[in-house]
Amino acid sequence: MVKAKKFWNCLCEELDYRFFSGVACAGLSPLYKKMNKDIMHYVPAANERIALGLVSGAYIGGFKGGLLMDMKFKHDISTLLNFNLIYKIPFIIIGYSELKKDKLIYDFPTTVIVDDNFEDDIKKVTLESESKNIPGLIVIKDKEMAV
Amino acid sequence: MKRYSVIKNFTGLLKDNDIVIFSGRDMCMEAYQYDKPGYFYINDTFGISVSFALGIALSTDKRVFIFVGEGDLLRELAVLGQVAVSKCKNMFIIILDNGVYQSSGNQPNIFSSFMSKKGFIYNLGCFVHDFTTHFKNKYFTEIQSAVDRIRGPMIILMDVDKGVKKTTSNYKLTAIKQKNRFMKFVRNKELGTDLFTPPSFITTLKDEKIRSISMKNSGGIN
Repeated sequence: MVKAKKFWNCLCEELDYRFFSGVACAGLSPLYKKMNKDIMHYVPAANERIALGLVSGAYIGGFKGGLLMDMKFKHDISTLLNFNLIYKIPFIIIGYSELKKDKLIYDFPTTVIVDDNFEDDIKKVTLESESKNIPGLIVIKDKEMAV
Repeated sequence: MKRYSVIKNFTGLLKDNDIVIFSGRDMCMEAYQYDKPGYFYINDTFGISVSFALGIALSTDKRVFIFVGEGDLLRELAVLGQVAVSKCKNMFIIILDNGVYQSSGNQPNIFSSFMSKKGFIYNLGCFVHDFTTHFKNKYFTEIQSAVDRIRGPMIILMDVDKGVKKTTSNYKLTAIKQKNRFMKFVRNKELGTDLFTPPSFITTLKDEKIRSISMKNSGGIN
């Protein structure tokens, strides 16, 4: 099982991702429950497009960030990711998926985490995302999330 | 009143440390003539330019002005609600309303058919001003005074004429060069203003009071 607290500690404290935005998703509810305002800042967004804009803007302001979303809505943001590709603005998408393999329309660095040994996978994705200045995708598998 | 004239006059009233974002290809071309390091041009907006500006406003203490067409804004009206609840005092949206989708051949849009544009925006929770008459009558001193004192989140409405200024100037900046220049400007703390306490959740983690205020200001749920 993926432990939510450990996930946030890894992403926020070790990798310095501090700004998050997104839309409520039942599959990611353990992550929402374990959000720690001492190490991160979360802005609830009206929809995924707005969340994407907020996270991209925060990067320009100096904060690495992530977007929380249900992967069912990936098509809503897929075309908008052009914006990030044009201006080379990296960020992390934290998605929840019921599918065995899930990805966006572009070939971004992706990892699917299914157990508690996710640190290396996340680090690899964030490193590639930041070095290439492109979005990275962390997919959390269905029913593998725990508070 | 021509759009390029409004852009020229309005940007002339802003301070050197203000962040200005232009959304839409035609508007960017017109605005590029008055280029400054704090200006950012989004040609293809994908409807996220306002939320992008809000993300910047949440992470800096500089004032952020975004010039956007009403057609562009219609793509993502929900962002007005997002701006309103952010209570971001350094966020200003200037809607240049020409009543049509200009770049695609002057097709009409629904913005001008709204029963009350000001009422609609105000009821979302934003401050709203209409400077159309001020600009038409060239009351620049009054506008300057207002612009110096305004607090966000504020929407400034301005009606402009249809049409684009024919300009020969093209971008000399690539998207990446533009982003790097802009990022350097935004992150330059020495250019800040005392207008707004930013969400300094990283630098002032020990200061509970400041952090709780900033979280509240940005609509955080924590």
